[in-house]
Order: sequence, then C-alpha cells, then structure tokens
Amino acid sequence: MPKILEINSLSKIYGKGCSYCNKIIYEKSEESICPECNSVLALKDISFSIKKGDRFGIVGESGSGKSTLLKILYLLETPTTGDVIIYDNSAPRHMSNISINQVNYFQNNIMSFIRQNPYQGLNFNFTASGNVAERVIAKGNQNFNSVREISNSFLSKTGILKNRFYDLPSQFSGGQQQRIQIAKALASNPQIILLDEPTTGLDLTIQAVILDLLKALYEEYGFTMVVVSHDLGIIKHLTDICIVMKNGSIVEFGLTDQILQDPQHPYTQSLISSML
Amino acid sequence: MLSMKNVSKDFVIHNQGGIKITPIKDITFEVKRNEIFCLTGQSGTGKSTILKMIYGAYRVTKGNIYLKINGEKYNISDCQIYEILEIRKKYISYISQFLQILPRTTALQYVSAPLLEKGADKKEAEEKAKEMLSFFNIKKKLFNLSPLSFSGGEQQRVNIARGLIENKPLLLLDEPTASLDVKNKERVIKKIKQYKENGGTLIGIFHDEKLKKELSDRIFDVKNNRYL
Ligand SMILES: Nc1ncnc2c1ncn2[C@@H]1O[C@H](COP(=O)(O)OP(=O)(O)OP(=O)(O)O)[C@@H](O)[C@H]1O
Ligand SMILES: [Mg+2]
Ligand SMILES: [Zn+2]
Repeated sequence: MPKILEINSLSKIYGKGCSYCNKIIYEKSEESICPECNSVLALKDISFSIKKGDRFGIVGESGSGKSTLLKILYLLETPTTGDVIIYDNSAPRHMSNISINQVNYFQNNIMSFIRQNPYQGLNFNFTASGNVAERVIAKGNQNFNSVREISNSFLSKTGILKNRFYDLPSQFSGGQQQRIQIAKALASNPQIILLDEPTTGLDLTIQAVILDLLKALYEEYGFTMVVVSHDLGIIKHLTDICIVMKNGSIVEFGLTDQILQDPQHPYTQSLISSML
Repeated sequence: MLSMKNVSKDFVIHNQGGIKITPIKDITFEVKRNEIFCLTGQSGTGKSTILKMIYGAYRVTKGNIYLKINGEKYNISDCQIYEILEIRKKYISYISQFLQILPRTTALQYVSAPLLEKGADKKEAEEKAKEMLSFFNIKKKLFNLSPLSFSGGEQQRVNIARGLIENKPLLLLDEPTASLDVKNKERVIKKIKQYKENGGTLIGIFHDEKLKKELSDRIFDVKNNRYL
C-alpha cells in the first residue's frame, strides 16, 4: 500500500523556546519542561509514516504528547519545526504554510477527527442529524433533502434509531454520543480517521460495542485509522501497528502484538505490566 | 518450507534489574511442506515462544527463520513489519492457547472474522462459520452468544474453528486441545487430517498424547534441540 501520511522531524514547543530547548529535543533527553526558558516540550523530533489502510496506534501515558500529535495531524495546531505530509491521491502535500482554504479542504474531505469528549466533537445545539449534516454540507452538498437522507443513513449505520435522529446530543448516553461522532466522521467519506481516546470514560461493555462498530466500519470502508489511547486494550483490539510515546518522544515502534507481547523498552514494559 | 537456523530468544526484564531470560538457545530445525510437525518439551521450554517468533509476534534475538512459500522467500527474523503483516495475511494462521476476544463478540462473528477480513461476503462467511461450529459440536443456540461464557472445551473448539476456517498454507497451533473429550478430539483430528490432505502444513504443540501420536509426521524435542 502507498503512504498516506508522513511526519518528518516534528517538534512542538509551547512557549518561546531557546537553544537549550533544542538541545533537549535533539539529544532526546527526558525533560519535558525547559529549565532555561520554562517552555513545554510536547513533541521532540518525531518521525514516522502511515500507509493507506493502516490501523495505526499511538500509545503512551498522560502528557506524553499523543493528543498534541493528533491535533497537529488534523491541522488544529502547527508544529514548531518539522513537516506533515498528506498524500492526497498519492500526491504529496506539505502541510506547512498551507492556506486556510486548504486546511478546510483537508479537514472536510480527507480527514475526520473523533474526540474523546463529545462536547468537543459535537455541536450540542444541533440535533444528531444536524451534526452529521454539518459535515455533509461542508463537503459541498447543498441539497436539503439529499443532505438529510445521507446524514440519517450514517446515523443508522452506527446504530442510532430512527426515532432519535432529531434529538439533541445531550439527550443521548455517552456511548450513543460516540456513535453520533462516528456517523459524523464517516459522513464526509474520509480517507483518514483520527481517534483520540474513542472509548475512554464509557463503561466496559459499551466500550466493546463501540470498538466492534469501529472494526466493522473499517472493514466496510477501508479508511486509514489513527488511534490515540493510553489504554493498551483499545490499541490491541483496534490496531495492527503502533508507536509508544514517552515525554514527547517515540520509544518503541512495531506490530501491536510485538509491542504487547514482547516489549523491548523499559517504559513499554512497565506500561504493560501496570495493565496486567 | 520453514527453516529455523540457530535461533535464540532473549527477554530482558528492565523493571527487575535487567535480568535476562533465554528460553530458546540456538535452535535449528526444518519443517517440510505438507507435514504435521510437532514441538514437544516440558512447560517453559519455549514451545510457544518458537511459534510466536514464526508468527512475528516475538522478535528474534539471534539466528534466522526462513520461510519458502509459493515461490517466495522470506527471512522472518529480518522482515519489516509490513512484510510480516502481508505474510500473515497470505500464508499463516495462528491459534493461540487461549481465546482472545472482545466481551460482546459472538461465536459466529469470531469464527467468521478471518473471512470477512479477507473481504468475503458476509452471508457466505457466516454460512461457513456455522458449518465449522457445527462440525465441532457447538450447539446452534450458542452461535450468537459470547464464547467468553462457554466451557473451556467449547472455547477451544471455537478457537480451532476460527483457525481452520481459512485454509492458509501454514497453520501454527498452540495447545488448543487440552480440555477436549474423546468425541471432540476425534473431530479435531479429522479436521486437521483434512487440512493436510488439502495441502496444508502445520506446526503444532499438542498437549494430548493421542493427538500427538495420531497426527504428527515428525516430533521435535525443543529442550534437547533434536528430532525424536
Ligand atoms: N496548549 C498547551 N499549552 C501548554 N502546554 C501544553 C498545551 N497542550 C499540551 N501541552 C503540554 O504538552 C504535553 C503533552 O500533552 P498531550 O495533551 O499531547 O498529552 P497526551 O499524551 O495526549 O496526554 P493525555 O493522555 O493526558 O491526553 C503536556 O505536558 C501538556 O501539558
Ligand atoms: Mg490526550
Ligand atoms: Zn528553552
């Protein structure tokens, strides 16, 4: 399969940054706050690539930089240095210095982002159907009836019952809100779906249902999936390949079952033993 | 078809002062195409470790694992992760000692999943899965329940059904028969023989002496690094 996403020497500094920051980043030391200028070093010189159709996991503890990375991939934030390349029909497109229109194009047509918190992923003033419709409209569909039909078909696909289509997100359970987010994400027919802790906070049986749903949809649509989680169980069930992050660096990369069954790095080993 | 050449495996446990465990040391054997090859040895000798290295789930510390299949040649110990995924997809099924399953997945979904992943039609995949489950004496009323609620023997049969549904050229079988009764052992033997007749190659660990005797073409003693 061809590459779909590439990250080259990506770093993210929150703060003004200084030469000592750079030293920390390029020597890959463990500090996450620069002792000279107090900047937060969220990502340190990260590189990897993802192929079309991959189920790719990013795992690590709270504060390891996972969400920052995902926000940069979805173009919600810009990296301090380094580059994100998205292959749009095999043509490499560099994300540094692209126009606002281009950002919209990638966010509305190429990628979708499912958030851990439905309050961030859904508009709580719109109905379930309206939330999905927003994506369909953003993609350029102006025909009211067709927008409505498409939106509702995606809600059905994710298991929302017909008589609930016009309820507000606040009237749904956490699991159902995630279903609406998934419907919304699918509605633009994206090539890449980014998921940030898609089931964290849901009770275990609901988690399993949502994971099942995502797996089935992956098989049906064949999109590329990038899943961020601190929960190795989710990474295990949803991904084939993953990276392990610690303090803004990648400490291990491999097949998900290699990482889980035969972790090499001390950090990965302790992460796994803490899960057992 | 598969050749292990001087393979060793170390595990370094960092949070216990970096102690090194070496379950497999300098193992060499060769598996021929279309044979049933059995790994034997006491608990802890590294039988499962070998299967997992062949499947690419464990990294090889030293040595090489060559796989020759369909005119292609791989060194599994050197393969990139995408190559491993491709080799698995095309050639290798792996049945683990224990069922690995999400809580809400039904027996039918679990068994038909490998076919669906290959892009089979849902209806056909389910028909085939039902056939497999029935063959292994899983009652119809259990098809739509989670195997997590099944008895140990039922779970193992569901696991075997899943592994055998695809007919891949190489099957890795990790002791899936420990808690089977005589009648179900016969079923497993029959299905594995059928798999071999269809050209399959199997590397297996059999807990059960009867299965081991009846099925194995050759047996390899892992502890002493020699064929029996
Ligand atoms: N906008 C920001 N301003 C300052 N620091 C930030 C900002 N966003 C993230 N950080 C810092 O960057 C580091 C990485 O955060 P990030 O949210 O990426 O972690 P994470 O791995 O997603 O953690 P979690 O598992 O808790 O979600 C943390 O130290 C965090 O406090
Ligand atoms: Mg996060
Ligand atoms: Zn600094």
